[in-house]
Amino acid sequence: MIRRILVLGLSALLLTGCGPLPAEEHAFAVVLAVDVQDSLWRMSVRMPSYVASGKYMTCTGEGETIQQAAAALAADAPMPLDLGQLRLTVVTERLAASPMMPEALAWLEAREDLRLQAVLCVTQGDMDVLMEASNPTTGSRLSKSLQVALESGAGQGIIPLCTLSEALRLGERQTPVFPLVEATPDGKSLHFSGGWAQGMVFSEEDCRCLMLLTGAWKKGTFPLGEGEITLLDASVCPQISQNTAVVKGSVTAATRGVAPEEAQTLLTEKITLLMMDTSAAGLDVLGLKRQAIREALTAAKWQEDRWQERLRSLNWQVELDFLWQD
Amino acid sequence: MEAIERRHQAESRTRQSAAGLLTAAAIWRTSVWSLAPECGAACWWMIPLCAVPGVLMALVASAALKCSGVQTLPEAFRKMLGRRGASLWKATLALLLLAEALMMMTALITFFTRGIGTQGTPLTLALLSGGVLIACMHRDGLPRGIFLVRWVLVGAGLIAAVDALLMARWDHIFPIGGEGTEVNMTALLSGSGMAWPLTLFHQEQRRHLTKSALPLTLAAGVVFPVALLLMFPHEWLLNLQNAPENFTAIIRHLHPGVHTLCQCLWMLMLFLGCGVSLHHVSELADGENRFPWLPWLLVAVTSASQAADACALVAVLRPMIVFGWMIPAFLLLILLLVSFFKRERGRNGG
Repeated sequence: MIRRILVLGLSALLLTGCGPLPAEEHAFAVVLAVDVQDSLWRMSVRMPSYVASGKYMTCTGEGETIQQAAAALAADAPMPLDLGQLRLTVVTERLAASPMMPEALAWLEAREDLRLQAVLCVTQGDMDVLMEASNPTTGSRLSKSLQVALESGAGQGIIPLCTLSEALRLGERQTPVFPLVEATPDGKSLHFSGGWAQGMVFSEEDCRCLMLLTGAWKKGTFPLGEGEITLLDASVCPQISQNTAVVKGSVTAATRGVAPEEAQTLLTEKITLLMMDTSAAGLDVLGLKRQAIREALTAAKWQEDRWQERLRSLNWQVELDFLWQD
Repeated sequence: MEAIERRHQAESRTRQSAAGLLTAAAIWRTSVWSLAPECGAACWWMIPLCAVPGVLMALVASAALKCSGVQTLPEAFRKMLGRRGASLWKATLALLLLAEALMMMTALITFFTRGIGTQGTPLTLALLSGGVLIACMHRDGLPRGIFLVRWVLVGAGLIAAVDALLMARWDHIFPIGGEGTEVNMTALLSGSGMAWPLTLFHQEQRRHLTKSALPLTLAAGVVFPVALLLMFPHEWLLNLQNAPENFTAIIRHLHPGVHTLCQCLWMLMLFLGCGVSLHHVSELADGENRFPWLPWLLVAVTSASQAADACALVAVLRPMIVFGWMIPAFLLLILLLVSFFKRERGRNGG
């Protein structure tokens, strides 16, 4: 019986042409960049060159559609291109702000071998310069180096992390804030700083406020004027009721170079201003629509809700309890 | 005698595991293919609701067995409705199982070709799967194999469900009504037969039936797809097509390791589900094993079906399953009524 099974299995494999493609015959991209200008799509990947020097190489493709650009990119790669190890997906600000962004996201989602856990970033600089600057700064592997840089940035609260999967799963319920990435002035590495959401740029300070409100950042240093606040713990919850959004919560922190009362006032003002700006721009960066959807029984009722108008006219109240520690 | 009885009980448990696997696979397949794109956020309560008719069928079968005083459903049909009744029961069950097997094979091959991008045409991959299936269907090997790996499958499903729940958001249960009553009613109709294989548990001897088997099967069948679908908001789910590729699109959002685990789990479930269906079909069609080549023929037919276009095949098979379960349900109801009245008449007469 075993012999029969072996013969059957082997013949089936040989006859059907099934067989794995060895890993070394794949070009595993680590960074993917997408841009569009005057209806011309450009795609680039950064991947190991597989030479003894251990350097990375860039392949590029262009086309009138994203599919054509992807095909040209695949043709430019020395081996079959695999996006299964992708760590970073970069879109230019031009593309991110254009109506073609949903098309780009749909293509990225439909690409079966693409790793959806790759972080999605926006760049305001040149895509080619950025790709050439995608080099490891720690160790010899670009993937690890990028992971360290992204986690470090998120740990400091200066960049919001948003993977491709998260961006897709937000649906219409929250505006995704993507981290901003640029090439360093010497053009040898990448620098992550700040965030971007539908044309609005968030500074490092804004990002700290945002991440504090979304619960993604609870510990760290918050520079404030000439002093700083050291956050020890935070529990913040934005809530919406009719036309008022209230940010409630408690913050345990210590100050240096600034009086606690002054720090509290400054931080509260900063958060209030930031929230007013984002909601006035029609950005729901905290996902308040997630709470508003509870009021609708069916999708049709939900669509009837004039959310954008409601969001733009929201009144913001920040009621944070501060517990100061020495 | 006791050793023989224990042996029978053990064999019955293996067959119950196989029936449980088939039920879970059928619930997963229907939930992800049909219910998710139609109901969206309403899936979390629509999936358990759609399983209710299957549970009712199993309860009716159990009550009919109790009233008729026999151990298995085929015996009950023979005793209460005669040979023709038993043959009708077997024929409807076999047809329904064959449709399930074809559906599972189509899902498996679509998963190979479009999901994980295996090289090869659908037909050649079906021949490969069919070849392995023939080896698996050797006598009682398949139920025994499923019995051995049952906790592995449950464990893998649990890991995937936990990973999905960690990514789920509480607001994904809204809007509770989904696309509205009209759409939900259509979805209810298309998904109502998804748990019908629970009836297969009563093909076994009633005294050997494990009490926890049915609830556990139902829990495994319902919890996994609900957990997976809670990862996504209503608007994302509605973008899915009514197609086998849905499962691939959903599990891609799991963490890479769990994604691979889930791929293996789905492949195994479909493959073994197809095997169990065909195993039952061959048993129902040829209980005395007069045609030993029958399993081979069934596997060959199932594999050959993949030469047809997958969409056309699904379009033909779906109504067979959507409405086909109602025939055995109707037969079970008749069996229950007949056995009840016969029992009452017997009591009055006595």
